[in-house]
Amino acid sequence: MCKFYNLLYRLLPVRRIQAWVIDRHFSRCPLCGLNEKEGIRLDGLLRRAFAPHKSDSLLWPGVRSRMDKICFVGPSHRFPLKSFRFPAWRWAAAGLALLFILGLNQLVFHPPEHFGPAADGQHSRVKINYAKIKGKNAKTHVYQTSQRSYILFLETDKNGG
Amino acid sequence: MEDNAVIQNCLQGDREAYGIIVNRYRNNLLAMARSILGNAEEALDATQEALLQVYTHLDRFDQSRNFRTWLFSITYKRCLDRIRGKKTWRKAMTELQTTGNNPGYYEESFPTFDEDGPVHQALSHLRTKERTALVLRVVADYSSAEIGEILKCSENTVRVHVFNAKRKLKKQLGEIAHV
Repeated sequence: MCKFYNLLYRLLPVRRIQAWVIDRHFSRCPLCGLNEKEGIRLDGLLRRAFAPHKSDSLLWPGVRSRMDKICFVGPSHRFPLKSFRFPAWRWAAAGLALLFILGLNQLVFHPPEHFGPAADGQHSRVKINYAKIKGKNAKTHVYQTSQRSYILFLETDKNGG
Repeated sequence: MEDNAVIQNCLQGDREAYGIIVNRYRNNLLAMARSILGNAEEALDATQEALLQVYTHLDRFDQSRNFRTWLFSITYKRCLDRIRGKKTWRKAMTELQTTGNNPGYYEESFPTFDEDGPVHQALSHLRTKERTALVLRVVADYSSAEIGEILKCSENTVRVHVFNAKRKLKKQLGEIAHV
């Protein structure tokens, strides 16, 4: 039933009707009435708990005495800082983008030497035109270790084919 | 006198005009600060600092905006800074304690929530944003939109904060009453 009234309250656009619907419901529904009373009691407790404190009157004298130490600069003399504001998240995003570009640049244009197969780009250091075993051409593999030394593998059949 | 008119007077050098603003929002500002910091003296100090900060930056205030929410959001940030400062201080003091110096000193100087009464006790179990939203809604009677602007969150989030705060407060007050 409470849900029905809640729906009715949301559907009816006029505030006066809404108030009437709520009042009528609260006067009849003991649960909602109790909740409303509890809510009002809670609000009252809060207001009382945050009632003005005796020390509150010291606020303005305290501010006033410290204001004298401040040299107030008028608006015409101030540099328009507002236009230079750049939120922190933008700095962070710009930094990340820069790091990404630098990383990408490093990977594409200056890859680590032990990165990838050694076959490409090693011709200036290792040059093998052919290798023969028992007078027949053998398959040749060059492997570069992480210590930048080269291991040469020659592959042939048992029969020398 | 409207806030913007008072600000104009302040900008023209009338320092006493700022008192109108201070006294206008004094109760609500201090209530908010007390709800965050849980200590009347600290709340007073933090609010004073915030008001001075607002005064020094008054010329940067965009007068098409709501002054009240600007003032409250600065005070809110100041109070949060205080909490952070307290935490750092506590950490440092805990380290000192472990080495055997100044035992229990910080406990006395920086209580977590020392306002009297069951409501304050119950409030200490709430999250800072929930406490602030509740006090601004109930005590200061601000709209969800205004509170959202102060706490830098949406209206719906404010409603959720207030709802959760009331639910928790009811529960805590019930538990306190049964003890």
